[in-house]
Amino acid sequence: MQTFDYLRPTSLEEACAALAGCNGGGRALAGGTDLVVQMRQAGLRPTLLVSLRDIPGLAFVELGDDLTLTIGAATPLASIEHSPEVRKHYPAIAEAASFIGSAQVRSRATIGGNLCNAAPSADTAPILLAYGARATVTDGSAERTMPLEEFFTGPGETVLRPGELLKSIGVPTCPTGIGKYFKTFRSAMDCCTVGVAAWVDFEPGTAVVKDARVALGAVAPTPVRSRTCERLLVGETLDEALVECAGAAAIEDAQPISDVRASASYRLTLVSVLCRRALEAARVWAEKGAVE
Amino acid sequence: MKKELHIRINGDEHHLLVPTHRTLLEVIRDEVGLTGTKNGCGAGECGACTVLLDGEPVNSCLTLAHEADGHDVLTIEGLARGGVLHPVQEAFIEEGAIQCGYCTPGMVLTAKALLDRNPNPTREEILEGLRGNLCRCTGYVKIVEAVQTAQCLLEERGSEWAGV
Repeated sequence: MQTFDYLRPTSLEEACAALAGCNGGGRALAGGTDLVVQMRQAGLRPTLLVSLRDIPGLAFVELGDDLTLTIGAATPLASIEHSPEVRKHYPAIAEAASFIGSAQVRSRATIGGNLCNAAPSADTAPILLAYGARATVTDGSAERTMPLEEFFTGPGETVLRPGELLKSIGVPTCPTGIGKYFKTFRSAMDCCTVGVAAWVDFEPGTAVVKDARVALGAVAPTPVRSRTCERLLVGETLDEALVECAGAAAIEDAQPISDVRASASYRLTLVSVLCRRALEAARVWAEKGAVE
Repeated sequence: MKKELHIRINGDEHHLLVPTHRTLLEVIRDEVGLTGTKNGCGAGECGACTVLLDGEPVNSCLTLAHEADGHDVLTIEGLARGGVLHPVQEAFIEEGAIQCGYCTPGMVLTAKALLDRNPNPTREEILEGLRGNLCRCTGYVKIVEAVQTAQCLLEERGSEWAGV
């Protein structure tokens, strides 16, 4: 690894100013589990690393009284995976965090790092999109908040301008409904081949879909919503036939590439299989709820 | 660029002048001279370099040393107490869960962290917990058995090892 300047500021203002002032050669350092690998193996040579370690208020999980969930960008994935609040109210987010890397990686890797690397296969992205999460970005003084979907602009690219940092992720209240995330991968520690997450809210006591969000990972330049699938679901009764149709429809919003992990056509098949699995879980959940 | 580093390793304070790009693994092995922590893949895949940072398992090959400034590191050398092996170490010996031994320090520390968090893991939870530790001698069956044995040993005399 080549040497670099290393700063450990204690405020967002300082961190953003340092990153803005180094001609694009600076990188924010959170867990480092991707960044250090890129520096050691992929020839990435930042001139400055700005550690986020000592900035207060960047690593937290907060459940509001109204069950809104806010997660600080520098929160390690292990803290999300093991958070009693997340496990209770947003179990699919805890599960998605637990899918990433190993226990050692999750101790260090942060949710903000996972999102800011903007890999189309980022494991935390589909379930957050399905829950309608919003991203808050700061330049050290002003903040802007946007749907997480708009945070991603391409493979490895986000809306972040030089000197801007992701500050937190907010999940709006989902007091009803169910979120599920399914993914396929070749083996432990591998990136996901395809990931599909769905959140479905039902009319009380019925299997009629009141609202739904379906999100796809690793099948487009960014994690994406499948609005074709969502349109098909809303207002309809979620039965086995609709699960089947919706799974097939999700393919419309996927533009996968062929790479070392899978061919494009195999990925399309997986989109429909995983989408059916997520919706089937929601269907069974509604059936139980309607019966009780 | 060198910077001062204050780090506590196995309870001992170390004050070092360390280049910013040194990893925690390099500092532990080359500056402090504790070679029980192994250098494997250098990319966070194999777990041979696992140490506990404030009790949490981390890949020391991916952790910049200065990120551990002011914090507590436990390496395999710090696990036994007064010459008495930690129950996880004892269990690995008892079950013959060691072949060449290269993965063992990482396995033992990962297993310790797992049992600290979850004293009664299922077999699946043990496998999941050790996902980031590779053994190239294909010894996983005995390793999982060793973690199960450690689980029993800790149940019997865990209080003696509290705070380690």
